[in-house]
Amino acid sequence: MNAITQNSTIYDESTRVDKNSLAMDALSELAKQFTEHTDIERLLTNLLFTLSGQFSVNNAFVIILQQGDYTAKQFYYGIGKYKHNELLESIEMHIDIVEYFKNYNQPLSIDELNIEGKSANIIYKLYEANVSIVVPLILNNKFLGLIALGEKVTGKDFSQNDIEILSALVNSITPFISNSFLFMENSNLNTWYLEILNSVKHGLFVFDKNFRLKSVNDTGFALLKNFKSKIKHKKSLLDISIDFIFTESEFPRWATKIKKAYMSQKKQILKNQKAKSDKHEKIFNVSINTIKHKTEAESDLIITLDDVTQLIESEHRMFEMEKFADKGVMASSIAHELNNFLGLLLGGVELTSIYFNKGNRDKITKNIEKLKDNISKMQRFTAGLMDYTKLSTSKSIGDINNVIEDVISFLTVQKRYSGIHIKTELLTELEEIEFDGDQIAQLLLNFLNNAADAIKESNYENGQIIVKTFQKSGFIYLSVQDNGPGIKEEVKNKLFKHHLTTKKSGHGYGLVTCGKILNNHNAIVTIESKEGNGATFTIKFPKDGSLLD
Amino acid sequence: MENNNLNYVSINAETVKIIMGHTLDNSNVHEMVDMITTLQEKDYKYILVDMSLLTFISSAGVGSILGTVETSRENGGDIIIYGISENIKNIFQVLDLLDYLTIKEHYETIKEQLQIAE
Repeated sequence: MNAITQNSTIYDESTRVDKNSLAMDALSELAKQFTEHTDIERLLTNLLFTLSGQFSVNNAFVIILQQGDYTAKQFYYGIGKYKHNELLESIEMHIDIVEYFKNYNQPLSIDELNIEGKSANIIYKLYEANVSIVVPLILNNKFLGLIALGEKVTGKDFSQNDIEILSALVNSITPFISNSFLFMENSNLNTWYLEILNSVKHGLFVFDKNFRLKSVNDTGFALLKNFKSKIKHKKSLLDISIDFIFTESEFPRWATKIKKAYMSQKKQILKNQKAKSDKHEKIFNVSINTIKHKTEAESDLIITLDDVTQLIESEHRMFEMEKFADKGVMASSIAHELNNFLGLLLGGVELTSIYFNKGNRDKITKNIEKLKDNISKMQRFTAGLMDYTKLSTSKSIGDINNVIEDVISFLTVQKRYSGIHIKTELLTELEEIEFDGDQIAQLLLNFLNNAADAIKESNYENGQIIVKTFQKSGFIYLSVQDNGPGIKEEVKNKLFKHHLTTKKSGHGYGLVTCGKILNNHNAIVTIESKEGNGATFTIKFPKDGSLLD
Repeated sequence: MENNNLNYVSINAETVKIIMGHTLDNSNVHEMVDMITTLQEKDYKYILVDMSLLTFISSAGVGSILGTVETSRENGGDIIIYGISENIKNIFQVLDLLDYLTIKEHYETIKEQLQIAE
């Protein structure tokens, strides 16, 4: 039986016109639906209902391939008995059937289908489900999928006029289907990106060129809510100025710094920025970046917030532990040094007593002078100790050279430095900068102690440490150079990380503390060293305390 | 103002009446299909569709009835349409559905045939 009967219409000319006009109305209504709505399942089932009514069939289904790719997941929607039909839902497209339909590119009755090979079983499935006619969806020679209609409820075959209307309807609506799928895939992609952004642990804010919020991820919203409890929804923040997002009371100077960084159009990180409210106090590293759209002249501003509160707290604890550990080391060193001095004093007192009994006034006078010298040394030693252990954290403007001289005068009497010559080359016209004297003293002490230990552990003779200060291009430099064994390349990059030491009996806290002190002064350190050729640590301080790249 | 609302009234355990608004097209076919499917699942055998207010039905609207009527018939019931205007009747005629669909002129006729007591 041929399902398509030529000239089989039972209507007169006037009713034929009505049927065509009904199809035109249907097409116009469908096109409107596809342009106004995005729910692809609803749109496709509307199409099926339309075809069902137009051609008087109970059942219809559509299979759509993703972007015309027969190997990708396909979508199946049906109405009537085809809504839930395992046989039809199990149809899988293969390259041969795709090519077959591409060749015909028109509605085909089930009797006309002649497919061999892998796809032959598709014909069997269509027969079993009483499918009457199949219409390929082809756009720009791409096979998007197919629509199939069941038998007419009238028991009649599809007429030539039916075929023409069906072909016209489907060809007209195929571009809309393609667009809807592209839109859906685009929406899915956007959703996918949003899910990624919302799953990261950093707060992410995107502002436009006028510093108005365009987007914020879940973490960013949660962080903000900690400080601004009145905010209820993410959407309420959109298009709000950065001045009202990072308000001065909760995020002091954030907005100003961020705007300044944006103007420079360079990626920057503002470290350790404090945020506070009545209930919370947090510290963030604020990363500032820009991103440019192809279509827009101005860049968007991307702010990433990394909550480093816990990290800072653990660094602080380590800092305190290091002070404690150093105090322990110092205590034994102090005992050793004081015993040396006390031994000298005791010997001096005994000598004085002998000279007193002998009535040798000159020797007594000389001995008392020596005792005074030693007591002065002890005073300098203990004064140096007090300066070192005090460790206040307040900054003031001053000359770094003074700190260096104090530290070195204290060190020279220590046994650790016996046999090591400490030389200074300090710039007399060094500009004064704002720094924490105690912290810089500890920083220098660590570098010097490490240099001395490296020299001693390697049994280097004629040990020498040179401490220099100089200034260049708005920066103050302090360098500590030793002629020890140098630092291995693989160790160099790991210095200032937790628990790294090259000493036989070290704990590695010292350089962590140094890292923290450098951070507090926005200073950076560079290390020059070749194995066997000593090492030079150079600290670069910005004169105005600003951040370095 | 155009009324696209769909409502139903249960007449007895087997019979329910859907009262249509002015149009049945893409904007409300899903609502129509969902309503008929729900009523079928509630074991109503006869679903009467009052189209006396209906002034426009699209191909999709016709499709929504065609896509559901078989289920009712397989369950020993039917979807019975009544109160249609000449325009709507003309569309059913153009689509050659006057013999397939069960269409009655008045509700009273259905009451008699189904022996509905109200």
